[in-house]
Amino acid sequence: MAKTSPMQWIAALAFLAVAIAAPFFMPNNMSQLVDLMVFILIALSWDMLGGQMGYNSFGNILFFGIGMYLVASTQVWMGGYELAEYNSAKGGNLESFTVTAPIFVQSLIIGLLAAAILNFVIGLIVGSQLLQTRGHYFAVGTLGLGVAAGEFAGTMDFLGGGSGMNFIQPPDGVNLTQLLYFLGLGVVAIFFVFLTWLHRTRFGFVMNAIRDNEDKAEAMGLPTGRVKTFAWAIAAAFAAIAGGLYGAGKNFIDPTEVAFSLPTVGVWMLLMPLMGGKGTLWGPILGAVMFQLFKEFFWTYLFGWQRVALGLLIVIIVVFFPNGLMGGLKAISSRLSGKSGKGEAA
Amino acid sequence: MDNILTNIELLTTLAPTINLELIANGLLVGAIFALIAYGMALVWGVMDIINVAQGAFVILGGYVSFYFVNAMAQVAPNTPGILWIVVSMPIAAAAVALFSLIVFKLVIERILDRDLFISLLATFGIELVMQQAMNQIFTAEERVIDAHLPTFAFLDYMVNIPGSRLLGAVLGIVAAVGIVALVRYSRFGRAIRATAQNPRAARIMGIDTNRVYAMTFALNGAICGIAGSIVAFVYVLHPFQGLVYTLRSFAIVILAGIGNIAGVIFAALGLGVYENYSGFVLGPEFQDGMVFIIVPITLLVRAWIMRRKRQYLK
Amino acid sequence: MKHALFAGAVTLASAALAFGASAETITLGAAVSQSGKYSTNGMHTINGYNMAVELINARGGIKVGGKTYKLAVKYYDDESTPARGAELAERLIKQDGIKFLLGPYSSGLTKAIAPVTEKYGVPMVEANGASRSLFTNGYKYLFAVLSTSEQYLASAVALAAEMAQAEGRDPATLKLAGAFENDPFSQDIRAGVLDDAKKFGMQIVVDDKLPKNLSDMTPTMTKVKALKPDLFVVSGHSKGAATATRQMAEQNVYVPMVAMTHCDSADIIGKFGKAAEGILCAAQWAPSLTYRDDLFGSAADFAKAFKEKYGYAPPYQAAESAAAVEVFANAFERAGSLDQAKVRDALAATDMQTFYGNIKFDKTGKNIAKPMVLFQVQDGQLKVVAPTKWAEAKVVYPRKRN
Repeated sequence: MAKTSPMQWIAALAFLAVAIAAPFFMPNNMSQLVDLMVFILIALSWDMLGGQMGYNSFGNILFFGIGMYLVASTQVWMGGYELAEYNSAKGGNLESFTVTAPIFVQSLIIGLLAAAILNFVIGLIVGSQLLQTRGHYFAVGTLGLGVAAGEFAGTMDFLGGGSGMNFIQPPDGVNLTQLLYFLGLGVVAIFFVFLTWLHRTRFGFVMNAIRDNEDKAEAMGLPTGRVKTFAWAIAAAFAAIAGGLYGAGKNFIDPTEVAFSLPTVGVWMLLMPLMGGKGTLWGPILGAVMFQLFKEFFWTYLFGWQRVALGLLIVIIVVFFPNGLMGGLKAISSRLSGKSGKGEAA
Repeated sequence: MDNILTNIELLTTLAPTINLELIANGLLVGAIFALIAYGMALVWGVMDIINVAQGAFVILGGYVSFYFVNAMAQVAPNTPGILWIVVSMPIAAAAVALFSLIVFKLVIERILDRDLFISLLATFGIELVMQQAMNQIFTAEERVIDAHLPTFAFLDYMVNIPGSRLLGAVLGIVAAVGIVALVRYSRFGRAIRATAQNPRAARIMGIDTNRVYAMTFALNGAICGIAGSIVAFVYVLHPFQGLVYTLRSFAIVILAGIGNIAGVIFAALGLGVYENYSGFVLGPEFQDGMVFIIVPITLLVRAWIMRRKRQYLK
Repeated sequence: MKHALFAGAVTLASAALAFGASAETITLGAAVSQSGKYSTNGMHTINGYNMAVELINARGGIKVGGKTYKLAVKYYDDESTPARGAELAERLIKQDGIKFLLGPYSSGLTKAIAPVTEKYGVPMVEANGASRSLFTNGYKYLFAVLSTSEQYLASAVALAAEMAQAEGRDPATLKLAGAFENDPFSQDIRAGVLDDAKKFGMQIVVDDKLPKNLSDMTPTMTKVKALKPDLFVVSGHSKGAATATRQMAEQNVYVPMVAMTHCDSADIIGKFGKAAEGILCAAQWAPSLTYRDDLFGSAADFAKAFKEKYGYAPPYQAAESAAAVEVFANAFERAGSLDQAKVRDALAATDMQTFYGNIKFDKTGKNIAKPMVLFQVQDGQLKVVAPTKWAEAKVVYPRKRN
């Protein structure tokens, strides 16, 4: 694995600077910016397996959804309210239910941490089993798991069942979108630095070896099983944080349409790395930015046909640009420098 | 928990005859799923493409059938509707087959040699396009065709077989048998099977594999068209209802094992019954979840069996 | 760079909007389902909004503080998904500069949007979110012109009890079966029905939740058939009504009294003819009611005008949506200002009659001045059977066996 070039550090710092400044230039687009942070997070976390390890999961939405419910429940619980009562079908008399600003912020952060830890464990358990299947069997198996999870969440009355669940209202004095944005940005930064480091370790080397040829890697005595499972667990923890942030931003959880929504976020999270370039560090980030731009553009100008446009975009990307933006850039730069273009971009 | 026990009690002691109804209706539903899943298995097995848009193809066929039957009811109001329903099936089949060919030329042809992940995404994109386009063109209203068929009741009305479902199942089975025969005995079928077994060898033997792929995808379209016209008079048409059929076909093909065409029929019939029982015992809200969870469980069981032989499921 | 592009795209969007809206127009915003599972009723909602807006404009618009304004509505498609609904509400408010919102279709979408309007202090008059869980959060900017869910089928349960007494049976011996979609609206209907049933001491023999992707109700139908209830209640938006009507007939499920919601918007009579005969339907409104207002005239006039314009008889979803626009217009005129807080206070003080019914909000924002009506399908027509004040026909009980 090549050493991180100074160019990349400069790019990272520039990105960070733009990201910190963005809320002050675009105060009216805060919720889209929160979504963008969430998208970057899930795109990076999906790419850990899909890009770096060659395991294309359609089921990471599982962690996203569980994380969302966990954060919402933690907030209700720490706010001093009973969950089943809060979610009752006829409404839980919440007029008198208020939380103070410190408790709101604390419960949000504790909820996110709890979601990360619990989903890490779930990732270990589910991963140790499902990662026994390979290739498209893994894709299909995780797909089934993701869809089923939403259906089962809809049967749980204490979580509001199919009626969904509202996050608690932020008290006065809490600028929720700004809070979520900077929390998201912080987690993205941590994750990015972590991934940069990880790819230079033996762990990262084994991940890539699994992608290139798992049988050979195993024959070489590399701990493929352990690496796969832990990689998925780490991805799960970050996907759960993304879910918690997304849910808090949207305020309302519906089991199949928001939390475990495979046809939307569930597919977007793999589309974004693909757009930007799978298996690279910057690809998922660029992909998420591009995707968010395209999506908002379609929803604004192609009213009534926005999903047709999105569908066409997906088809065009996978058919004509499967290597994404980074793949295209790499091809161009290698042509310019006359190299064979086989170097790693991460 | 209490209601689950009550439901089991109902099945075992209070009214055991309703078991027959659950099984019969499950089999009838399963017959329609079998048809759709058969098409999916064919494309999956021959072309290594998972067609996520399968359900949208089905719904498209349903709309073709719906508009045809309605138009005919205007033109010839005194003819029995059932006649036009049957006539509409080949029309829907032809229409969706043609549409499939277009999709093949535009998209599928270009992703044939890519991995399955790409085909999943590409056909998902096609599904999105079809859903909203159908929503714009056919409006969002729920559409049904009323076949005006009687219900056959047995055992003092405890077991009922709706005529429309029976007709749907019979037509579905006829279509399935026809297609199985086509694949097994015709020249075209031989070419399909040869291509599925080894595309390179088939090409060397002078088979135009690209044409075989095109025809297979069109055949799947025809199957979806027929299934769609059955869905139109047995269930409800809605532009966004396709996912129900896609995911079920998916579960059926996995359950049967890819490449196991005969298994698809049994898996589909079994799934229909299983679904009715899980809906009855656990409650209808569990029905979908219980179907989808089959996919990872089947794969895990098979991976576990293979692991004992030191092999991997891939 | 990426963000600048993003900002650019959005500025462009808002510029285009500012250009489209002239100074004398009040633009209301609405995110309504035009695709996805609620799109049938989303269409009724939009038609209702448009009908009222166009008529108000044709009559010269509304006078606010000495100035005349026209009304316009900016729509987005929420795709029947709550996440999208919340995003679009935020977009309407923050990026399009919309100061007043009309509601979406369904309780679920309203539940997703209400926190957003509340956060920004944007008054929202909604016509299609009936779940009581909307009105227990202390929302101050949410107003609903419709009656809440628990009232939908209360009269059907009461009617069953009444019929039993007329036959000399104790209502406590009645058995009730229910199937309710797994969504906030239908689940609150369920809560209401169970409370009512408990009041009469009825026994609940089936209590099923229908999945949102409903295509088949066989297990529920089989259960109902085996347990022979006296009253069968179904609530599952249009698809639920259509599926239940068809499968009851197909599977020979006979229950002496069947009550549903959404049978008019699902057009079960047009779709299934005789199979729909005798079904009771809860509705917010009927064309035969005796309410009237200056804009549309009587309820029947509205129905006639609507049918002329859109080619189908208005289901109550269209009527209540039109009424929501009227409530806004009325509040603007009384507020004499377009200040959001003043309009909010004017809305809270609303006390008016529309063709749709009387409208007066309690302090949680729900309309408490209007009862529900109950239809029965009789000879292929919807006839009002309750409340007695408007009854066009006597209820047929028990339902005929086909």
